[in-house]
Amino acid sequence: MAIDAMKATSQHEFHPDAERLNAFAELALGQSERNEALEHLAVCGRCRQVVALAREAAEAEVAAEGAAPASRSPVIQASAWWKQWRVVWVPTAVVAAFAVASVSIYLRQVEQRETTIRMAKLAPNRGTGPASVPPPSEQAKAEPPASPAPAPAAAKSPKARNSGAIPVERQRPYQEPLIDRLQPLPPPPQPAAPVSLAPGLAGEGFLRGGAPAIYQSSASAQWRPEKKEQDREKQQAENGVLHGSLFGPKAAPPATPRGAISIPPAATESVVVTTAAPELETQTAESAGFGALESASASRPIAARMASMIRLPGGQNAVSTTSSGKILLAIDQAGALYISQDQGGTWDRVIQQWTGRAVLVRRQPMPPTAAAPLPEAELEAKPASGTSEVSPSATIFEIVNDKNQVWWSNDGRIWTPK
Amino acid sequence: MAPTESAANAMSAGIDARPGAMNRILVEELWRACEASSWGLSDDEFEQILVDLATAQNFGLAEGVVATLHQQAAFFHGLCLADMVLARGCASGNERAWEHFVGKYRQPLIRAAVAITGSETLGRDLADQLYAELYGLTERDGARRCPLLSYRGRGSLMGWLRTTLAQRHVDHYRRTRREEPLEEVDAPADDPAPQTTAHELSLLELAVKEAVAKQPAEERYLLATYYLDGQTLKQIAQALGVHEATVSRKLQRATGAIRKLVLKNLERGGLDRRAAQDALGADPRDLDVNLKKLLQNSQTEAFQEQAAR
Repeated sequence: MAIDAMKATSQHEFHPDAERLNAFAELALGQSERNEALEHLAVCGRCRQVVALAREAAEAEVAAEGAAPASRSPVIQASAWWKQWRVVWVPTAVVAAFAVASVSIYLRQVEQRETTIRMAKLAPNRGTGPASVPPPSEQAKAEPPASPAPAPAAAKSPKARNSGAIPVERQRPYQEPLIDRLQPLPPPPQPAAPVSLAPGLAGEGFLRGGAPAIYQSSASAQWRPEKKEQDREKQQAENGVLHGSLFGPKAAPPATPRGAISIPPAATESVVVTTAAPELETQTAESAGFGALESASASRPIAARMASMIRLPGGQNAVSTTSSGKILLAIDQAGALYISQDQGGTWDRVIQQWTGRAVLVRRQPMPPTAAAPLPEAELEAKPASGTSEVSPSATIFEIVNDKNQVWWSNDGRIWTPK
Repeated sequence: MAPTESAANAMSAGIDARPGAMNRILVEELWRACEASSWGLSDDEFEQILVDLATAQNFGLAEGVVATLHQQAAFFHGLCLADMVLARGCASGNERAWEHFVGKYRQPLIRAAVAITGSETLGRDLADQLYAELYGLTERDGARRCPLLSYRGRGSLMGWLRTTLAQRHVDHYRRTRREEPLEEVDAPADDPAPQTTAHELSLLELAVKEAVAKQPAEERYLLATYYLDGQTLKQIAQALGVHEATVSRKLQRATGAIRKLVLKNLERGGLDRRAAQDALGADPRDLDVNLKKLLQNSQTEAFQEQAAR
């Protein structure tokens, strides 16, 4: 029975005509005629193929009609294209310009921040000690710099006056004449256990960006940065004023090492002195300088290693160096003092005018008594309180012998007991 | 005014609204609506065409049912009368009708033929051949026979042309294919599996045929188009005017039902449940070949257009 039924449907003699197949495809048949068509299509591959091909042709026709509007005349197309985009050009250009400006500003800020952070990281390793910078009160009384580069413009800044800080020319490219002749710096060692902690060193200090390590004393002061201070320093550095001081005043707590040597500021650079200083870790010249020099251990401060890399005319390495402007002083292992006025190019031995063996040379701000009176104009321009400009010329050099006796000199050649 | 509204107006006016009778107002409204006069058809000729259509299909109603005026209007409203009168004008040789036909359908006809054949050359040949046929170059019994006469307005004229092209192409392909040696010969079936005997195979074949035959027409159409013709669910759904998910669901339901019926038929043929299950694991190529023969045994030689009879 089933076979007969299948044969009855498969052995059809007539196919639906084109109109009925088309009406089936266009859903235009009544229900009864549709069932009949389905009955036939279920067993007739030929008619199924016809319906499928006709539908494909219809879809191709629809696609061709859809593509027809796109093939308008080129003039119309160009006009339409321009009309469509004309409205978009202006905001697009504005957005693009804003994006470019934003990226440029951001990159500049990032670069400044990285530079500041890098300088801040290097400076403590190269630094000497908190005793190198006098408190602001002393600096305020200091003599005007002999050098004509006291940065008066910065001192006139009302913001600097209000904040009690001296603006810094931080972005000035740093000149390292000797560093090129030296071997590359080894990576800074991990801070060793601090010899002493100076929690009360909240005195003023200064930071010179990029002071050459070879100019530093072998005695080092390692700044143990605190997170809070670092963040604040970054923020302030972005604003052009650096508040974090790295080196405390000489008259700060008893833990202040005597042998700490300051970083000589460049001739045209000014530094910021603030009342908020981070805690410092300091090392004495003996512990950090000589001990490190003799043992040549890997943990000695980088400043000492930098000093040891200077070969003096006597054939020995320097154990202690300091500088001011272009004047560079160095003491060798035998206690002989050498002076260079061309940033280490040539060295002259200084006649010994002190007793004992010199073990440390450092730079100190010039005592008030030795300072020349400030011109009236500069006195007026000076900040009223808490701030002062530290000029390289307003410093003196000091030598400490092995008996902790101190001699000072203005030019590094003539020394007077202190 | 739409024909339906006219019919409604005619009914409300009570003008010749007898069931089964052609309302004159309705005819005139339809005649004007489809611009039959533009193709040289008088209102009498137009009315005669409508009467023929209505008589052939009884207004789309079952035999013996008398159509009311409203049903008549609905029936004519469902037809593409504008296309129909154009086709009749062309078939009668009206020049204006031909000009209009050529301007409107010549290029679409070629594009459809190219799409159907997949070849520019074959497509143009096919379109030219049909165009000549439509123009009435062929004669039967000494009279010019135009295939457009078979168009009665069900579906669009363009769809009818496409379907006619597809018919010509499929018939030509199937006819010429038989004259060529088969390139792809089905590989002979492997020896029956030891566990499936010839008796079981014959039972299985019989059971499959019975199960397929018992399926409704739509399910069998789905099975054939999906499994034999290889059409996608989307294509089938477009042909049936339903969603793809509906087609998928119906296919799943149909295969499940066929499997149950096959098992039932096998058990009825004398196999136990386990043997019936084993028989379903027979080599499907045997069943595929038989099913193709079953469903694709269309006789293209015997194809005759119903309208041409």
